[in-house]
Amino acid sequence: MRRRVVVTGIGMVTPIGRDVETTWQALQQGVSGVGPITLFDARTFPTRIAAEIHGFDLNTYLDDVDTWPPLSRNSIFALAASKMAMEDAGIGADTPGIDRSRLGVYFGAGEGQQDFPHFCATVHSGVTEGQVHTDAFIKNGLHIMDKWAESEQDPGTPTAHVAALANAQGPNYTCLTACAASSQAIGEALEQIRRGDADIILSGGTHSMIHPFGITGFILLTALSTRNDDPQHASRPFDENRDGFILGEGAGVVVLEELEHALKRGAKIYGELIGYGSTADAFRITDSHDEGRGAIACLKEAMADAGVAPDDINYINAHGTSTEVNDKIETLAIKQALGEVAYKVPVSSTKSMMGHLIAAAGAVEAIICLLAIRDGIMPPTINLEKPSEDCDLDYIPGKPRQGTVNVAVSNSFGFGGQNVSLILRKYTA
Amino acid sequence: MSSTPSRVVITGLGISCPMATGQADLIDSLREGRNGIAPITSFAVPSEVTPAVGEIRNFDPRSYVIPRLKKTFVKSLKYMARDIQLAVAMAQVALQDAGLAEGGVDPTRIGIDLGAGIISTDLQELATGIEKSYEVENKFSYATWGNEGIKLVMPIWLLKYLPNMLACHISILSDCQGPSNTITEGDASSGLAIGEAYRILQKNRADVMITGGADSKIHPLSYIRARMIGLLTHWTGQPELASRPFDSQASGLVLGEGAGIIIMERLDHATARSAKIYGEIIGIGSGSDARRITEPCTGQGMVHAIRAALRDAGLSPEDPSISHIHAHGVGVPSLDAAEAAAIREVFAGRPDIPVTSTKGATGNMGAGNGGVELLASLLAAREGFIPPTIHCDSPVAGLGLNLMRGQALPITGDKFINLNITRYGQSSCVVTKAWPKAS
Repeated sequence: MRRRVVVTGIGMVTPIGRDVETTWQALQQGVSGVGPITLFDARTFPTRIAAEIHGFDLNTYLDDVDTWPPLSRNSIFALAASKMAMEDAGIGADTPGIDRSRLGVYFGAGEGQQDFPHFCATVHSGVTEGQVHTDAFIKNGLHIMDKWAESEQDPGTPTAHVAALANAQGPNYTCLTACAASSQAIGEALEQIRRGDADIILSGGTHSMIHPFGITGFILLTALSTRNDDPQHASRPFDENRDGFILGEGAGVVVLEELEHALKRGAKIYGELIGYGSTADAFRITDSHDEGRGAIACLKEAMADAGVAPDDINYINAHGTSTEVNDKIETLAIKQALGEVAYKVPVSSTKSMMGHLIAAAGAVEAIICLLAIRDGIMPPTINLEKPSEDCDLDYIPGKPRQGTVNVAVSNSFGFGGQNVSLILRKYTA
Repeated sequence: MSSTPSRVVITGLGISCPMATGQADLIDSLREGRNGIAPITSFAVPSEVTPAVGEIRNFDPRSYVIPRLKKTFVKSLKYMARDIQLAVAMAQVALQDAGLAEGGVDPTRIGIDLGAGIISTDLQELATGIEKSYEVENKFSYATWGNEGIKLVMPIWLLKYLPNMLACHISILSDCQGPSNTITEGDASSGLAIGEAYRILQKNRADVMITGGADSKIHPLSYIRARMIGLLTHWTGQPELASRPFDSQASGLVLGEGAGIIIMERLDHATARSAKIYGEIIGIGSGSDARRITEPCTGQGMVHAIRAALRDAGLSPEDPSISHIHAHGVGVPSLDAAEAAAIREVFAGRPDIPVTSTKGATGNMGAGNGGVELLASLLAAREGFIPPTIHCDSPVAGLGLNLMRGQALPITGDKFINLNITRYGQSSCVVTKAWPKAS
């Protein structure tokens, strides 16, 4: 008898809301969180827009912020989202009756915000006639660079912070499969609970790449939109005038729990996590496979794992980054995996509103699927004025769609061809 | 899909670490107690930090790639940071060792689960743009960086340093389309990846998994981080002797690099193609201290990890077939102490269980630790000995561990345990059974 896994708590911090319900309302209203970059001086950068979280204060969520060391943005978001999810689920560090060695954490987490100013100052201090002298770099860096900023670079750090917050002594994992990371974390956490390695896992992701290194890196790959004069319309998945993604930031956390464990303690249940697929394109480091073979295989694997057929699916939350390649290949993959039924399933990209949260995207989008299941509302794809020719599905343009959602699929397709699909279903006993 | 978990065996390996590259070399090096720590050669360091590192010398990735892939590989080299090169090269060796380098498995049924670290950028690659941005005002100008600095960086720059690119390049070269994950949890990364790969194969989500990990901490930024966080050794004696697991004179870690890539396979798949079998994974576990990172390591995470792994393997701590514990033994006093306490707690019923650490010879290889160390124990066990702990001349008082110091000691029992722990107390445990060498 396979152990079933349900979601008993959710928490998220996104560019369009600092808690679940605010983001959810904003998604239904088609609010865009994109604007000019303010976190650093980006005025001459080819891309100078992003979906930032403005004025975030961890004191809103934790009452002991001063007992934590200086935290990078991604750790801050992770702690806030985890705290909300834990309170939602009724599981805290002091909750009695929880076997701490069977309470785990699995995050798809990005490295901390890279300290560009101090890095550049250190490089500069070590350069003579254009050559970097590493001995001077190290010697000066020990004085110039910031200990805590560097400590937070370790991608395993948010997971450690969350484990401390929750007194979670069980299996502790961090993965970083680029844009698929937090979907992957949730999928592998599902497997850990099914296998009996844990009963509860705080799973999700966090990332903030809105810093000069991150923006520079994606600009160089020509992956970002340059629609700087019209930020709120820049993220336009599936649209014929899409020109790249918008970098967002934030965190999403779900409390995954074995069903019997959840029922025994009377936990509220948002939905059941029933399917997970993971594949690699094995094609190119820059582009998806040109026939979507990895994405197709991953969707099919998730459906087989979930025991669902294409016509059981009521909604797909797309990866939908607003790049030319992803949106085209994803559309193709959905059609190949679902067959004719693809034309009947509403598909939307919430990245049209909040941008791309990179490692955190998958977790946030899984939460959106759960809310769609809960409320029978599917969020729209905004800025879809005219779909490109190769994008011919129902992308829920402009306004949300009402309708029963029993089964929802969330896709995440990462750089380098890492594909993950998650399938969630309304809980029935 | 069977509901009984499949058995999972090791059918190939590729290893490169500071004191040895390749199986035969590694076995010799472990038998001799050969040291891989020496003064750094790849770049200059100031007197503020130790020059002692565990470097892999004369690494030429091209020499490990099969002829059919050489041209593609050589073209891609400029897109691969050193960590990636190490991983891809040793994956090539491992696949050849397993007899899978030219097919032999359905591409959709071979996946990857690797440990990787954060990969620091080459400094020179950004220096020109950075210097340009200082030109006008003699202080950094974002305006100049945005306008001109960015253009001086190669387009593919970000992808050269992404931790998931170890797995991506391997998947592209060798057509691995199955499940693919990259674990980035510091020094425990490849121990955890091996555990996850084991579960994937047990569940029949793949037939073959390429696992283990690779990392190179030989970088100026790694020096700065290790020093500022308080982990880097303060050893001022002879550099070769700087990495001192469990020793009373240990004062921190030595930066190292390494790649330990393991081909794991479902037993029925391996048997069907008459693959040679090195050993079998029989149990895994993971746990965490769950404490604030500013508090000292408790070792509770490791206690949970070991107990879970032993339960998974169906072994009690007293089982005499457990030949040794290959500990993390990184030489950071607080971590060594916590690890020793965890071992003492779990193995209270067998206090003389042999314990060893190879970090005296390798330094801290980051995400390369788990893969390299499992292979070291596996190869040594098959030769009838336990890898020795070197540079532990005077163990810390009260450690209570039966340390295998000095010479390689004869082994009793066919199973062994590998432990890794991060500075936050996130811990991995893998239990392996060595198979006898074919007569």
